[in-house]
This record gives sequence, C-alpha cells and structure tokens, in this order.
Amino acid sequence: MSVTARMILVAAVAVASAACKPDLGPTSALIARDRVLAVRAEPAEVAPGRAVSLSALAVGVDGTLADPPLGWSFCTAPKPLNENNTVANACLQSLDALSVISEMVPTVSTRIPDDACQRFGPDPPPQKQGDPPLRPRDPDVTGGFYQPVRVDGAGEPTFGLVRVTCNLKAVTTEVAVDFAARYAANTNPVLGALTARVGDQLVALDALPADQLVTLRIEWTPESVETFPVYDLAQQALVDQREAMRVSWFTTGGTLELDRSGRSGDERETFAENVWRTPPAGASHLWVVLRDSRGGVTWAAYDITTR
Amino acid sequence: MQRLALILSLLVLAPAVALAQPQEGEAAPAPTITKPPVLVKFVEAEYPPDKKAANVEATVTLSIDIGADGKVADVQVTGTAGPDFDAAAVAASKQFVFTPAELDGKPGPVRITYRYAFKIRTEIVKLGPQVNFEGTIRERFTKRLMRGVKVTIRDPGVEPREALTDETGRFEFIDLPLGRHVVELSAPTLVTVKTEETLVKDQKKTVKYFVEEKQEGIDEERVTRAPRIKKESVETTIRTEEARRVPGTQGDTLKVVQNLPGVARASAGSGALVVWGAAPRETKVNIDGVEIPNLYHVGGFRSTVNGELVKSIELVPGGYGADYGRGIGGLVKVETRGLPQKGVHGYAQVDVLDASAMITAALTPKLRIGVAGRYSYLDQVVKGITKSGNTDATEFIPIPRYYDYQAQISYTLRKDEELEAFLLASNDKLQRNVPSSDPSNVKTETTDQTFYRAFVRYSKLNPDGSSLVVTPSFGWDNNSQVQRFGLIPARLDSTAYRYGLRASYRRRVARFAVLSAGIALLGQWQDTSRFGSINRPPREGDIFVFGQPPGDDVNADKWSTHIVDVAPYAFVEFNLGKRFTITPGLRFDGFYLEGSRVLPQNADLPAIGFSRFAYAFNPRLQITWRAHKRVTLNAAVGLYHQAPDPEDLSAVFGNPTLGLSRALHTSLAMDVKITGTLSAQVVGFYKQLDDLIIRNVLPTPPIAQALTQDAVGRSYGAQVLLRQELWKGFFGWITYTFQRSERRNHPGEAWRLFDFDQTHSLTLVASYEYKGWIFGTRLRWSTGYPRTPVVDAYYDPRGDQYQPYFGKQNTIRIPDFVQLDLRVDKTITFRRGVTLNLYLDVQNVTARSNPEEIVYNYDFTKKGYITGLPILAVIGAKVQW
Repeated sequence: MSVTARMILVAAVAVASAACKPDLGPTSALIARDRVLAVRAEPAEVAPGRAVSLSALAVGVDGTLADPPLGWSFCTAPKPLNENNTVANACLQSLDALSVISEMVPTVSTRIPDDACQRFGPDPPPQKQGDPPLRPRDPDVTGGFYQPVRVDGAGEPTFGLVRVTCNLKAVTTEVAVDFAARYAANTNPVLGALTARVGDQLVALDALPADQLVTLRIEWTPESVETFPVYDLAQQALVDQREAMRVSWFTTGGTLELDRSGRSGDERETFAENVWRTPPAGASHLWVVLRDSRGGVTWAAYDITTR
Repeated sequence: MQRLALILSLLVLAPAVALAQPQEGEAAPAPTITKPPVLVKFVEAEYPPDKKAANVEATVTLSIDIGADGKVADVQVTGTAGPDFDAAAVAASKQFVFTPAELDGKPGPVRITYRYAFKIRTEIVKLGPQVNFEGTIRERFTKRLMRGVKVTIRDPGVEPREALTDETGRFEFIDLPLGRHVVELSAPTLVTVKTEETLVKDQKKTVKYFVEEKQEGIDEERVTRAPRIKKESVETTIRTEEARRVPGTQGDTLKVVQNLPGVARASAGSGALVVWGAAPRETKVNIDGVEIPNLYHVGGFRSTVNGELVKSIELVPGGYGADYGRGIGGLVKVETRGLPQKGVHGYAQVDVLDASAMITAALTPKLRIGVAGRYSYLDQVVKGITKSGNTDATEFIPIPRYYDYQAQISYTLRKDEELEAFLLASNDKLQRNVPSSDPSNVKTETTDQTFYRAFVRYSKLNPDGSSLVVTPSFGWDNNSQVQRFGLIPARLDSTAYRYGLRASYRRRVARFAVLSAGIALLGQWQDTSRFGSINRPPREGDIFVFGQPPGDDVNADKWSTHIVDVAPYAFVEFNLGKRFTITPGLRFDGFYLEGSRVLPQNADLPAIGFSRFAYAFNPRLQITWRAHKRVTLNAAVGLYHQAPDPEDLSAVFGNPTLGLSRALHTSLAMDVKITGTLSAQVVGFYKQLDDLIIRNVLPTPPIAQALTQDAVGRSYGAQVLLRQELWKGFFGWITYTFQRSERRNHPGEAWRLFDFDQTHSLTLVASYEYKGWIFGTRLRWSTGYPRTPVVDAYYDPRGDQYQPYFGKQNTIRIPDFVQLDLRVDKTITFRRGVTLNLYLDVQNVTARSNPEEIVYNYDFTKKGYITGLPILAVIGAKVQW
C-alpha cells in the first residue's frame, strides 16, 4: 500500500492504538517489597493422607529472605461455581475455612488431608441421607485437582496449590485401568544454567555491564518436561499431553522486557529467554521460577553485581 | 363567474374635413354627408393589465380618419386617458373597418370623433361543469405523493362518488353539491381514513391530505384523520427515512434502535440491546413476526438485515400486547417494506466498513423480486493501517468479518391478497489472537455465528375489513465460539433447527370492538456441545475483573434439546366512545421441553433424557384514554414468561430442570401532540422479574444444578421523549431515561445493581436537510455500567498472578460516557431517477476518551480505564436508482 493511500485511510478511519490501554506502572517482575514468589511441594503430587514437605521462595528488596517466619494453613472451603478465582474467597476472609498447619516456620512437613479428593477432587462429598447427590469438582486442563495451602508472613497472603492424586471418575473400567497403568505422578522440574549475553558475547553473571541490554537464557533438563495421560472429557478418551513450561522472572533492579516466558507443550526447546536492561552499577538480585503445567515448581536465585 | 367587459361609448360623427383638393380660384361648396360610416369590424382593445388589476376605468377620445374604402387611415388621440389606455385604444381602432361614408351620394373620406371607454363590470355568466373540490394526497412521513388512492364521497341516501389520484397525487370532483360531505380515502396499502369537508357557494375547496400506510395485520380500521389508535402501552416507531439520517448509524436503519428511549447504551464492541433493565437475551427481535437471534452483527457495526428492506422499526420496551411473547424483556418489531410495483430499482453502497447492494424488479404486474447483500472488510482495513504487531485495537474491541444477504419474492394473488417469500441469512466471523512469550498468556478467540430464516407470508384483506396473515417459517442457526486463555479452553458449539407458524386474524366484531386472535408456534431442535471453563461465557451476576482469565476448572458436555412453544392468543380492542380504548388480551404459552440428558455422562452408562410440559397464562391489559385531542394517556400491565435457553439445560454446565422465568410489566404513559409533527411522551414503568436463572453459589451444589432459578429482579424508572417528525427537512428527538435495575441472587440476600444498570441515559438526535445537504448530529450521555470493586488481592504462585478479592457486588461504576457524532450527507440527482449519496459519519468528533472498562495493575493496587475508539470516521457512497 502506498504511503498516500495509507494516509488517506488513516484520515478516513482512525483507530486507537496504544491509547486504548493505560500504563499502570511497574509490572510484577520488579520486587519492591517482601513477597512470596513460589510455593513448592515435595513430592510435587501427593495422594490424600500422604506426607508432603512445603517450602516457599520469599524475597525482598535485599534478596531472598533467609528462614522467613511463615504461617502455613490448609484451605478447607471448596470454591463455589460463581467465583472466578483459584481458591474460594472464604479462605481469604474467614479463619473457619482454614486449618492451621504451622506458624512462624520457613518450611513445613505435613500430610495432605484425607478428604482432599472429596473437598477439591472428583470424589462425591459426603451427603445426608435423602439429599440429592452432590456435584464433583471439575479438574483443570491437565486433569488435576489441588489442595490450596495458604502462606502468610511475607507480604500479602499467598495460596499455593498442591496437586493431589485422585481417582479417575465417571470413566469406564478400561480407561481407569489404562490410566492407572500409564499415569505417573508429577515431579518438580529441574533448572539448568542461567547464561547472559551482551550482543553475541557471553558474559559472566558477576561481570554484567551496568545499564546495558543483556539477554538472559535459563535452561531446564529435558526430563523436566513430562508427558502424561489426561482424560479428555470432550473425547471421552485418554490423550497424551506434554507439559508446558513457564518461567517467571523477578529482579530488584533494572527492567525486564518480559515478566514471563516459556514453552508450550508443542515446543521442544528446553530454554526460555528474556532481555534485561541491567541496573546502574551495584548489587541487585535476580530470581527465576520455573513451573510446569501440573503445578511442579523450582527456582533459582542470583546475586548480581553490575559494573 | 365574473367577466370583464368593455363597453363602447357612442361614436360621435363629426363633419369630416374633405380630403379632396378644391379647384383653383374658387371656394368649393362643403360636401353633405348623405350616408354615415357604419362600424362593421370592431376590435377590442387590450385592457392595460395593471389598470385592470387595479379596477381602473378610463375613456380615450380619438379622431379617426376613415377612407373612402371604409378602412381607417389615421387615428389621433384628442382626449387622453394616459399613455397605456391611449396606446391600447389607438392600436385597436386602427383595425376597425367601417362601411364607407357617402358624401353627396358618393363614397368619400370622413373624419369621426370616437370615444373609446374602458369599463369593468362583473357579469355572472352561467358556465358548464366546474371542479369545486380538489386536492393532493401524500404519505404522512415521507411526504411522497400517493398515486391510485381512491377518494370516495359518501353522503347518506346518495350514490357514492369516487375519484382516483393521479401520478401527482391529485384528485378532483366536479360540481359537488354544496354542503357537508363525508370523504373517505382508501387504498390497499393505506389505513382507510375518513373526514368531513364542507363546500360553500362560489368557492372551490382545495385540500392536502397526509395518510398513513398500513402495517402488518391491521385491517381497514375506521379511524378519524388522527393517527391510528395505539395498541401498545409505549411504543416508538421510526420510519426508515428518519432512521437513515441519524449520525453514528452509518445510514443503517436498524441501528437507530440503539438511540431510542429505554435502550441502555451498549459497551464498545457490543451490539447488545439492554431495554428497561432486561438482559440482552430477554429482549426479542422479530422481523415480520419471525424471531431472529441477532439484530446486529458482532461488534454492533451493522444490522443483520439490510435497512433498505425495512419500512419501520418499533421498539416496545415493555407492556406489549398478547400477540407477542416468549421474552420477559422488550420487543423489537421490524417490518419489511413492499417491493416497488414497477420497474427495476436498486442501490450500491461502499464505505470503509463494508459494501452492500440491492436490486428489485417488477417482473409482471403481479410478481416482484428483490435481492440484497452486504460484505464487510473493516477487519482488513484495520489490519492494514494499524502498526505491525500492535494488537491493542482488536484486543479490546472485536472487529469481525460479516456478511448478510436477503431475498424477497412478492406475488399479488388477487386484490388485497398477497403471497410473499423471504430468505434472510447472516454470518459473523471474529478472530482475535494476542500472542505472548508466556504460553499461559496467549489468548485466541474464534467466533462463527450464522443464521438463516426462510418464511412465507400470506396476507388477505377481506371485503368486510377483516384480515388474515399466515406466516410459516424455518430457520437454521449455527454458533461456534472457541476461546483459549493460555492453557484454559472455552468452547461452545451449537446447531439449531427452528420451525414456526404464526397466524393472526383480525376483524371488527361490533361497532365498538375489534377482535384479534391467532396462534404463534415456535419449535427448536438444538445440538449443543461445550468444553472448557465453566466461567466462560460469563453470566449476568458473575463477578470478575476485565481481562481476568477464567477459572481453570474445566468440564465437557454434549446434549440435545427440543423446545416447542404453542401460544394461542386473543385480544379485543374496545372503543368506548371517542375517548377510551380498552384492550384486554390473553396469551397462553404451552411449552414442551425435552432434553437428552438429565445427569452428566457417566462412563458407558446410557443417557437418561427428560421431557416435561410447562405452561403459563399471560394476561395483558392496555387502556388508552384520549383525554384531549392532543393528549393521550396509556396504561399497560401484563405478565410475560420465557423458557430457558438450550445452552442452560446442560447437566454439567447448567440445569436440565430449569423452568420458566417470569416478569410483570406495568407502565403509564402520557403522549402530547404539540403540533402535527411535534410530540412529547412521558412514561413511568415498573417491572418485576422472578425465577431468573443464575449460577449456583453453593460450594458443593447438587449434581446437574450448576444453575439455579431463585434470582429475582426489579426495574423502575421514567423516560421523557420530545420528538419532531420530518418537517421542512428537519427531524429529531431528545430522550432522557432515569432508571434503576436490580437483582437479588438468592432469597435472603441483599439487592444489588443489575450488571447492565444505567441510571441516566440522554440521547439527542437532530437532522436537517438544506438544499440537498443533510446535516445530522447525535449527542449521548449515559451513566457507566456498575462494577465490583477490588478491595484486596492475594498471590497465586501456580499461575504467577494476583487474584482479586472483591467488595460488595456492583457498588462502583465506570465513569460516564459522553459522545458527540456528526453526519453529513449530500445527494446528487441525475437523470432517470438515479441518485448518488455521499456521506461522512464521524463518531466521537471531540475524540473524548470514554472509559469502557476498569483495569488494574498486576497486584490490584492501581486502577485505570480502557478507553474506546477516540474517533471513527466512515465515508461512503451510495448509488440508487
């Protein structure tokens, strides 16, 4: 299209571009206060009644918080259908919807409640005699169900979600048997190295130039990307699904081009990149949190000195 | 009859000066006039026009020399009456012819003195037959001259006399007796009108009549020259000529509905109709009695039916009569116009939104056809001119690709009996992709909506004034909405077959009563499949933040439904004297609901279906009191029921046991006819809604009860309308509505604002035509929609996003919306009736940044607004013949 024609069209039809959406300031990548960035369960997927260790990545402007005094609670209220969030509002506003695990500890070992699959999973909740049967919970796209865990003590409340192993419901015996044979519980991914480049030049993390554009690359192990069967509700059959990997980037200085990057399940690469305009000379902190689509998580923290 | 007459005065014959020469040396004896000259050819002088007009009389004295042959040799003025009288007298007298005078027995020249008198005298002359009553007839709204209208003089005890208007809309009667006469105007397309005229002696009566064309199902009502009696409690009818001139509608007739009183402003990118606090799905749209799913294409840019086929659009926000139902909100009635009776006509139009065309042809005096179509390309235009990779515009405001086409065949079976066939088709495709480096932030949306309607309409007007209209119809709807928010899918597909039959009969059963009865049947088979988030599509009453991903709980279902409604109805218009009309009516809606699943699918277990009947009696009552010749009061009350949508009968996402929702409408209106074309209306209304469908709020609801039916609602308010119909090139209206719409989700809960509540809504529309140019403006002000405030937030580390914690539902609002639109039209007329219309339609000429939605930063500590398009200019051209 010629410039003239384009100008004529612009005059004829003016369409908003960047003016539509307001600029609301810094994004989540900039750490300006104490926050919990991730909650990890080990193992990453647990059956009801089984033991699990919970830890959190709590950070602040001075870096990772060492031994933060965190409060840990299980949320016991299932989320109503008319709420759009990941956990029920009741778990945020009412102590009655919380079951305290421990307080003032950085990590905790506990057991997943026995009724997790009834409250948050496909098992029918207990009902009174004469009452109609109750609606089981819907799974997420990976076929999973989650036990919410509330973490307090570093900024605003945080709700981690621990994947719970529940039975497959409303399927034929063949499908159930096949699923049981093929499904492997989720494991937390494993991070590889973080590298930095200025232009085409690799630069050590302790020698990054100040106020420069640096391309960061984080890798993960190929084994971190797991393939697992999912009961496709539309097709009423088991289908294989490959985990998508998402990387969240956080820093206390400079500007990151992206808050998050990653790979969908169709992509074979095992790395993600971001561009960081480094802060002025001095110390800063960088965190990378890697999550898989079944709730597994891992992280790494980097103390950066720009020169 | 008066007549001017010229009277000659007596000529004075004086002895003439002999013209022969005397002998030399002798004095000749004077000749003797032995025979005077006799005027045998008189020529009337031309009366000077100004003197005649001023009734001035005069006498000119002339000296005329007459030759021996009797011809005039010379004329001199000897007694002047002014140059114009003199000249006229001289010119005429020079042409006189006399018999020759005789001097001493022989023809000879003479001179006479002649007095030519100019006098004016009224003379009654008995003439032959004269036109003493004549006039022209025009259509009331378009002022079009009406040909073929029968004018009948009906006098008691006398044979009726008839005349037909010609091509110029003119009629005349010759030598009508003096006195009072009843004059009746009638034609197949007209509402018969009667009036009285009085003829007096020696005067010709010249009149201008403005008549109203008939609407569907109305027989020849015997009304006075005042507009026909209103049937609905509150109705606003816009003629297409007016509708096309409203700015912001790009000449699309049906878009004018968005500017009518009682209609809340739709949010940007939406063509939804929110009428008197009713959700969009609760207001039904009918075209010639056949229901269509959408009045507008996705995005609200254009209507789904070509405006050139539309004769009128009627919006009834509430309290409509027994002949319509199945909806607890308002009613939009679109009436198509008849095809031209002669010739080939059409138009072609192009602007930045789309291109459209229509062609009609009268193949024979009885058979006429018409086809129309439209195709859009705005999405390509936007793609071409926005910056590469910049998706802000389409991310928030959907810009679809759409098309629609219509076909119509009309066949006149006999006089007042017609058969018409229609085909309507519409399609919308919308595709939006918002890429992201974060796989969970990739957004895609694909929407594909299609509907077809085919219907036949048989209409007959009987000699006794009764009418019958029968309309069988068939339809096919196909909808597909596929969305993906990162890994979270939301897909809804449905295919529906619709069949309907509408039959209405109307007749006068007594001098004071007109009965209308009929039956409206509508059936729908639908196959629906849905997969994905239960929160998509969102429902009225859901609390969420704009742009918030849906919940990641997913499920799937496939189900079939068959819903049939058989609705016999009847209403009677009782005209009690000249002032009161009471219209009681009753509609019975008998629903049959059938579905393939009453419980969610469980492995290989066979599905258990359901079927049940539901019925409702819907009484309606309207009272009209013509308190004064210019003031009419209307009151209406009625009960309305609506069946659940097939999409809500899913055992997984909905509730197969849902029943009928119900509404009680009440309204009171006063109409004031200020002048013949200026009117005002004040309306107060109250609506009570019960058994509304809402999402189940229980943490663990019973199985197959994701939706419940215990929500209630209420809407109340008042609206004012001042309207100037097309008059000397100007038309317009100003309307203000104050209303409040509330919902209560469950018994015991507090009332909250309805998601589409708009407390104030003001619309000003004006259009003026001057020397072929039409200038239009539209000003809108409306309260923003309610929203739920975010009072806190928590962090979801699995999704790496903050989740909002909400305050009380719908307790804050988007800021007010104010917008000024302008439109300029220029029509150039060529030979053979071809016209070229050029137009420029500019929305939001002040480029005001109107907020459309509230957005928050990542942790909900800061709030901002997404604004709509700053300015949208549409230029176009339309050729019509």
